[in-house]
Amino acid sequence: MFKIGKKTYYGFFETLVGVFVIFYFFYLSTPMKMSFLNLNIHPFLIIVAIISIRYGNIMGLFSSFLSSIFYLYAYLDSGKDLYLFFTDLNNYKFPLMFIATSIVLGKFKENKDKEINALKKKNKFLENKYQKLKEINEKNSFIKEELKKRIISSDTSLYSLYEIVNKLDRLEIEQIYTELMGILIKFIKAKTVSFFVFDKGKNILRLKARYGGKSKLERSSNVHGYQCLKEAVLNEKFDKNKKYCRIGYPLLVSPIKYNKEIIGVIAVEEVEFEMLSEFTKNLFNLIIKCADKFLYFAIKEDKSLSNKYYKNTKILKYKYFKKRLKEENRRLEEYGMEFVLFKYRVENFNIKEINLILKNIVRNVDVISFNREKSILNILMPATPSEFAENIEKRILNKFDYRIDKIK
Amino acid sequence: MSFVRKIILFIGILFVIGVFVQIFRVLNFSEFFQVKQEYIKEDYSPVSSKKITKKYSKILVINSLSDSENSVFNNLKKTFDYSKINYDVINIEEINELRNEINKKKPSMVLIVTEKVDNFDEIGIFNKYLTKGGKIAFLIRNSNNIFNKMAGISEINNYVNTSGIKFNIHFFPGLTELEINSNYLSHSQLDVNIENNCKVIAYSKNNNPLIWTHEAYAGNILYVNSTMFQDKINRGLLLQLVSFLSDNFLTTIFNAKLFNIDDFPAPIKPGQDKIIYDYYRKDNEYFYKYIWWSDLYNFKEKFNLKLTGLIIGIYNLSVKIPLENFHIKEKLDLKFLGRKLLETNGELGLHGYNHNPLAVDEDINFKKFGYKKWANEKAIRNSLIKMKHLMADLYGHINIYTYVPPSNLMNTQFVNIIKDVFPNLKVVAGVYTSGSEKGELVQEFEFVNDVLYTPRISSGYIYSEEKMWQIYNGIAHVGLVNHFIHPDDLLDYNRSKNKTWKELRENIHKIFKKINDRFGFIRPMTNIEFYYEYKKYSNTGLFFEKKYNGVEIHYENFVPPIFHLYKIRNKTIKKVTGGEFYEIHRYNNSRIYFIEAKERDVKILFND
Repeated sequence: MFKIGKKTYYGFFETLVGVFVIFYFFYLSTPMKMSFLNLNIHPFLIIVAIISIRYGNIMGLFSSFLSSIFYLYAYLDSGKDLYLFFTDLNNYKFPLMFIATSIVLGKFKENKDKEINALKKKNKFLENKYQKLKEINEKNSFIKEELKKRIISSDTSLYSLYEIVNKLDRLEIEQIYTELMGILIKFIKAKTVSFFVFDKGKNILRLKARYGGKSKLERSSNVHGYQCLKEAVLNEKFDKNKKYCRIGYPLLVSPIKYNKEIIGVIAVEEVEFEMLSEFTKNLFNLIIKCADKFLYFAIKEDKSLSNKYYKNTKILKYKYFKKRLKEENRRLEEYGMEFVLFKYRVENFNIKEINLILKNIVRNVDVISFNREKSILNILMPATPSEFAENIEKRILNKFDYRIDKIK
Repeated sequence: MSFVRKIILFIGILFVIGVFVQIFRVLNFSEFFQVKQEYIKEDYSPVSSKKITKKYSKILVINSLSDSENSVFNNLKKTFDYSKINYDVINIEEINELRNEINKKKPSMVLIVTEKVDNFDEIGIFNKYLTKGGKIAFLIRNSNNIFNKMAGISEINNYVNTSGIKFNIHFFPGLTELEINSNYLSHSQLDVNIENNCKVIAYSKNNNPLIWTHEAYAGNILYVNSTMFQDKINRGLLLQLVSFLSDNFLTTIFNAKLFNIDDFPAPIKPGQDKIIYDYYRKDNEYFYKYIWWSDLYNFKEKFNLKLTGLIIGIYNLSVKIPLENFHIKEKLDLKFLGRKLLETNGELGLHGYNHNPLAVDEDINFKKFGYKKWANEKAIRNSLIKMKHLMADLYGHINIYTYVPPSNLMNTQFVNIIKDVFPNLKVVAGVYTSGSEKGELVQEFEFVNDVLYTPRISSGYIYSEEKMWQIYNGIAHVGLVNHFIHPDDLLDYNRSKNKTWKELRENIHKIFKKINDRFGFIRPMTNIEFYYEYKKYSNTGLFFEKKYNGVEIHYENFVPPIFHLYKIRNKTIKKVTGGEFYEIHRYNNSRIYFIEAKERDVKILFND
């Protein structure tokens, strides 16, 4: 449907005014009326040209028809012959000129408009493209800066990581775990990280340490409970969850090995949004590999310390326990990792008896220590919320038939 | 636009054209394209002056009883009649009446127009008149020695035949500027010796004194040593010589400029003619439609003319019923050119169905012109009816007012047939002077059965002193230019003298430039407009009366405006009441004024 726009009304108005003004000044108000019919260049032609150039073909044709009608009126008003108007080129050439001018210049205008519109579209397209490229460029610049930072220029850079990781060399096992936790939080911006210890005999993974409270993984579960954990433990496969958005599924899972033996699993369940990338996965992989290396040496050294435990027991000597407790306190302070510590005065039981009684109560991640000098039994349960403490304590007291006294 | 859209658009345009064609077929649009030729007669009431007296002065014209066919006398009569000059005529043999007329009535001038004065011996009558300051003009030479003394002739030898003219005094614009050295203007002169105190006005080609004045007693004599005023073409000079002699002379003029184009519109000669094609590289049709006509239109505009075209329907020798039909192509030529003429407010007159003059039996020399005699009156009538239908078909409602006979040849008895077929016929135009051709329509300005005979005075494109002589004489006499041309003069070697169109155009421009430069006041008109102007003019009576320090003109049956040329010696006009004036020429102590009378009483007041 042809829509009459504001410009069309202006065109009509300009044509009417222009044609009438010319007709008035060049014909009505002059005594030389006859000369109007032979003016060269005819003022109507100028009006038609202007209208055509300004408003295009349709309005140009309108102005040419209007000019022709006025011209014909002047022709007849001058007493000239209508027959000759249509048979003598000298007469009808003027309307022909008006129409030809309107068509040519109107077409010119429309082509110009068309070209401008096409160029505008192209321009818009280029602007959009440019905008996209600009965004990409910004991202690339950001990435470049980030990478730069990661490599050298910040405390989360690879260089920094290298420095930190190298420090693991001098640490003990628990310290390595704590540092590893710190490294993961810092470098891959992990929001939830869990360390599980693998109980090969029972095929059970037990939570050793955890940072972040939104974990969906249970504290203790069968290896087969989670496909990704199973893959990590049984197939020693490092995994990256491709379905990031799937809640309750760890993003990054890696086995922790000692001497080709899976001793645990580390699972990152949540990272900062911007860290959801292949780089994070590789970095995670790298960190774990480094940690593995240092864990190996730490475990090896730990095992070489035969007097760390009372003989034939899993009861840690008190001086080692203090270090261990210190580590737990640090985890609590730095990462909010809760633990439960029970202290009992034990006077009626020897170390072997204690070892025997607690054997089936504590998990292999829990630490038991006995201070012989003060006859105090310490039971440290890492990654254990305090609300579980009452039940656990009942179970412990029950096992000791309430012959031990709790120290507050 | 897609191909399908283009096809739809094309079909749409065809459909619209089809609709328009059908509308044009069903409705009669031809009336929109019709033109009219209808002269609306001015409604006027003549008025007469209440101051007319019998005291106006007259000129006495002396003829001879033995000179009844005196062409000088006839020319003078016509000259004075057209110019509304009051005169009395007396024969030289009537001595008593002559004495009475000259000495008692005191004419303003005495004009002797006869050469038959051999027996006249009462010279005392004229001497007495001269002693009172009288003015006598001999408008034809005579050999009676009795007039020698007063005319300043010291000796008369034999008669000699001479020609040509050159003027010593320029007393009328244009006319007296001419010098004719050809045999055009022939004279039978006296081989005379004139006295030294004669003022020669003009010589003939061989330097014989042709016209002179001589002061005798207290009066003045003008002597024309020629028979030149036997020719009517010289009437202008005749009148202006009389005016020259007078101190105070008023002539009345038609003040009209007519331009006839014979054979226009007419079928255009097909093909190419060398003289056109070599110059323009165009065929005849293009030349006549777009070059010749355009030039003629510009010529008309430039020199302020109104055109009267005389249509010819077909060029054939069909003179018997059934007459040949008009050709389609030629009808288109007639339509185009005729409408072009009408568009300029020109008049479309009739030349004929074909170019055969309306003549039968031995009316004209058919063989000489290659014409055929018409079979009978019925054939003539049918040819005219055929033309009437053709014009109605080509143009619409056309009243034919003017008829011009082909080659200016016709038997005037057929004017009645023309008037039967074209009841509005008012003008029949032949020629003013004769080439002595049998059947040539030589005319005076006169009404014949309410048809005005309007002779054409000059013709052709080519400038010559002789042609200008004809034209200036017409102006000097009645203030009339009546010229005609033929479009096809260019194609005729004899008529064009092998000149190109450019040369012919320059020639005719030269002719009319000279006219316009000197007589810009002359009014352009078509033949029908002249008819009504002449009618008013011819019915008007005029009485010219000298008063103290001025003159008065009183009119009878006056319809304004009336135009005059007024010559005055030793005075200038201060004011004209009841009209307007301006000076057109000045020589010696004399001036010629153009006067337009707007009221029935006009007073001309001189400066002191």
